[in-house]
Amino acid sequence: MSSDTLVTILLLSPFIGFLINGFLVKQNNKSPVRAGIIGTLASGISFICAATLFATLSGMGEDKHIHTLFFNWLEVGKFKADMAFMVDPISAVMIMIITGVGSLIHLYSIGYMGHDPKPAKFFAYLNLFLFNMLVLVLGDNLLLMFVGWEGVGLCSYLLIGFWFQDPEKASAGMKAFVTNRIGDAGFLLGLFMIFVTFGTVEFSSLSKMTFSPEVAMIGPITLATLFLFIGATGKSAQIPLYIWLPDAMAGPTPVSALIHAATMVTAGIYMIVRLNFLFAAAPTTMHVISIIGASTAFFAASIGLLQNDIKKILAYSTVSQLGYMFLGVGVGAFTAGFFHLMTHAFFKALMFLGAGSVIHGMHEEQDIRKMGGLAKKMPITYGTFLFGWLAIIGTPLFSGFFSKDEILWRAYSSPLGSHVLWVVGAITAAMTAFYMTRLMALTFWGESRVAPNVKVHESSLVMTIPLMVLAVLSLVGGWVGIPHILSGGHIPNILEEWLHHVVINIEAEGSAAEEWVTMGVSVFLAACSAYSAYFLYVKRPKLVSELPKKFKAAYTLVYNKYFVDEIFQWTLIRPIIQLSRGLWAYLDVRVIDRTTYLLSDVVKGTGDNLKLMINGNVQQYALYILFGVVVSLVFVFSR
Amino acid sequence: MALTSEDILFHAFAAVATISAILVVFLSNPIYSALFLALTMSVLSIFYFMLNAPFVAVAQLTVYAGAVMVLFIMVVMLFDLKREHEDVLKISPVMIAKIIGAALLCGFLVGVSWLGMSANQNNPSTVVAPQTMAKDLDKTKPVVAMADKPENPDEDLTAAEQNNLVDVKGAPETAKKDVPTKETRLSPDEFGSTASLSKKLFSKYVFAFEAVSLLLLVAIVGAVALAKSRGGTHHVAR
Amino acid sequence: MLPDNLVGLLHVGLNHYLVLSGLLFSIGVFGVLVKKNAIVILMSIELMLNAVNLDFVAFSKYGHNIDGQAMVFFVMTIAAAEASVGLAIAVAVFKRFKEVNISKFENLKG
Repeated sequence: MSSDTLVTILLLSPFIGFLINGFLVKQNNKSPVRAGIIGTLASGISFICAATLFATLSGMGEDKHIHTLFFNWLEVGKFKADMAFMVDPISAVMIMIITGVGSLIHLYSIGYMGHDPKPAKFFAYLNLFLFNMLVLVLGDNLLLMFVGWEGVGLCSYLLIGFWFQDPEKASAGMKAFVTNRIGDAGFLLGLFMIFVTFGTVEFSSLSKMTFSPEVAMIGPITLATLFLFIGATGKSAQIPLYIWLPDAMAGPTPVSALIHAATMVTAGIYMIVRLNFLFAAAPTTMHVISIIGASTAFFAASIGLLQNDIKKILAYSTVSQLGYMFLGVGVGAFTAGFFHLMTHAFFKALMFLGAGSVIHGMHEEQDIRKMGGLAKKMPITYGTFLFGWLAIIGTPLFSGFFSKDEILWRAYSSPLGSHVLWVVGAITAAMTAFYMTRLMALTFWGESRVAPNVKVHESSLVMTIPLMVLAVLSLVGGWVGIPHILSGGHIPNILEEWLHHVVINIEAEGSAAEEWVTMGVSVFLAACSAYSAYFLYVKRPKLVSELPKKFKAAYTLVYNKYFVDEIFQWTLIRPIIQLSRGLWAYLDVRVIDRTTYLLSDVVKGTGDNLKLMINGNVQQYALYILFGVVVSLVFVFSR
Repeated sequence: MALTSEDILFHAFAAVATISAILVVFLSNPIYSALFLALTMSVLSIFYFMLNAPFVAVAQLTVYAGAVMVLFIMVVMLFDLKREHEDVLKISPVMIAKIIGAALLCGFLVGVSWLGMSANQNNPSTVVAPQTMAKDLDKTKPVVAMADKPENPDEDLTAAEQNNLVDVKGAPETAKKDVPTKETRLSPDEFGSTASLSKKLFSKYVFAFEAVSLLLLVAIVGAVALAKSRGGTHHVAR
Repeated sequence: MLPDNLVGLLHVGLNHYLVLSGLLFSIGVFGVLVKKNAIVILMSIELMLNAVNLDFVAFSKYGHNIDGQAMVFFVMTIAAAEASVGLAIAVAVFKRFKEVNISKFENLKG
């Protein structure tokens, strides 16, 4: 089967699934099985195509490249954008993750959405999301990527607000969309700037242009990349546009797993990795990226320390880990950032699905203060979740260890990095370990604080199989990127070699000793925090409940997410709404409407007055005719 | 040049016609209006005689002053409208506008005509038909620049004029040709005679002639139909 | 005697007839505009037509073209037909409404 056909099937399979589930399946069918099978099948077919394409690609030589043209789309003056898709090493990994993890989540959803009134709609939206994400990743030019970008934003809105009858959930969806939109404006500006500077928006053309560090080019490139980064902050929830992601937990848990852990939020990172040559030519932007990434990681982790909703903890964790990814690409370690994207997809999706399983088992309870001791009651969920926990805190051998450590090492040693960044990253790693262990402690370990009337049960096989698969991936997923110093050169860093030709790698400037030291420090810090969290929450729970009263101000500040949402509300949103209202009342109603009414009044008045001419008096009509005749005669004779 | 009797007659009758016409409009009794209109028409027929158009003059008297005005008077008497029902012209803004409109028209027409007149004084050969002296009239030469001079000059005209001796009706008319002012005396073949007019009517205008007779037929039928009806919104079937 | 200029002015030519015709026509127009009796309006129209006839005949004479008189022939015919039909209508209206004052007929108002 040719690659063109494979790409077509890859893209169209989820789209057709969306059409079938959206329009052909009866919407009110309570049983999710039929819709779920269609959706999962569509996703699965995509995965098979993706795997085949991956295999084909790996069989190619140095220049790994599969290009498929659907049709010539736009050609306006110098601007050219085709509906064409490109499978290269970066996008090949992405499509594997998207379709693989996506299919697992589809399978999981069959179980999770068992009691939902409209399962067909859910699977339709999930498939649509998959389609858009694939377009985003496979598009061979910025405009097509933007189409997918917008599409996943739309699907995110639709899925977050899936239970829109609840106004809170609906407004969460709106918040996500509007915040995304603000970022999208930045993306578009960046797109325009790139077109103006280079005359093309195609990735392959752009990559072939060699960027000499002349002063003339750096300005436009920096501006363009900054704009693109603004778009990335919107999509990937960095400061200042991260505010939508915690609220997005209002959607069903599979949505959170798929969109807000594994795929959509990674779009920003993907975009930067795709344009790595462009970003590498703009050191200023890189600094901005790394600083914002590090700040976001630290900031979000601090909030996550005190949250009580299991999904909110995971949400802030996602924001924090995304910050790590941006830190990685910001210091020039594009491969490392991408690596963390991959591992994060595995363990965060796993943890979200596990949280969903817990919520499902606890009959929709999400507050971890009301949980505890679930390890015995939900063994499979607990076992898989454990893998995720070990991965995220950076336990050696698990996937998170390799990727996070790579980033931290590069932050320390890269010419674009700094020791300060490394310190921030290390502290954040400690905080990550702390809050994740806290989550484990309060949810699975210790004594049960579950209300007596809640019957906790383990989830069905349909939900636990994906958990198990992801757990395995959380362990072995990192083994493709083992750094050289650990393996002593015997085991190749597969990922690095895979991405070698398409991703620039800014070499680390540090000795091997430093690398060992940083690795050791981060592992040690993580272990300490994990143990202290365990100690506090399992052994000394009473001490923990005392602390909020002792540090009341700090506690309130952090617990309320530093009041960022409130600040935005007061400084930005309310003034804008007031301004809009004012404009509406004064400009729209008083000026514009008045003008249009004036116009219509003038016309009507003229008509009314002219109507008086028609009074039925024929002699007056004759008089008018006479006047006309005289005027015409004079006119004719005056020539 | 001197004022001929014809001129004096013209001016006198013109005054009569004008005054009579004004009275048609300004008198409130419709009978009086009709009578003065009849007078105007009669005076106009005199003008036609002066203009070498005997047939038209007689037709004017017969048809207009005779038939049409009698018809008008008959209808007015049929209505038997009392005087107090008639309108008295009252001054109002609309009336002022009407006066101004009519005055503009009058001024325009008179002015255009007068311009021709004053131009005529200075330049004999003007676009408007030049004033030709009787003794200057030379029928052998074509008249100067008539604006609508036909491409095909009237055969009868040139023939009759060029050959004064050719006479359809007979010899006795020839004697009259010796009179210097040709345009004030009519002879059958000359300009304005019925024969020449009828020649034109039945050759060049025969189609219009027939059409007009058809029109008359239609008018007769229409008038009879109108007279027969009960008028207004009465039902047609009895 | 009269000065020469005045004589020249008074000596009858085409223009005199045209002026007279214009005057009569304007008077007729004024009558159409002003009078309220339908019959008198018809009479004013006849006056206008007569003025035009005078014009035609004058041009016919001074242009040495008998076509003018042929025109008059037709105008006269048509005017007669029109007068008869108009009067028939006026009679019909009178029979129905017992009025020929046109200020009573303003149904076209509005």
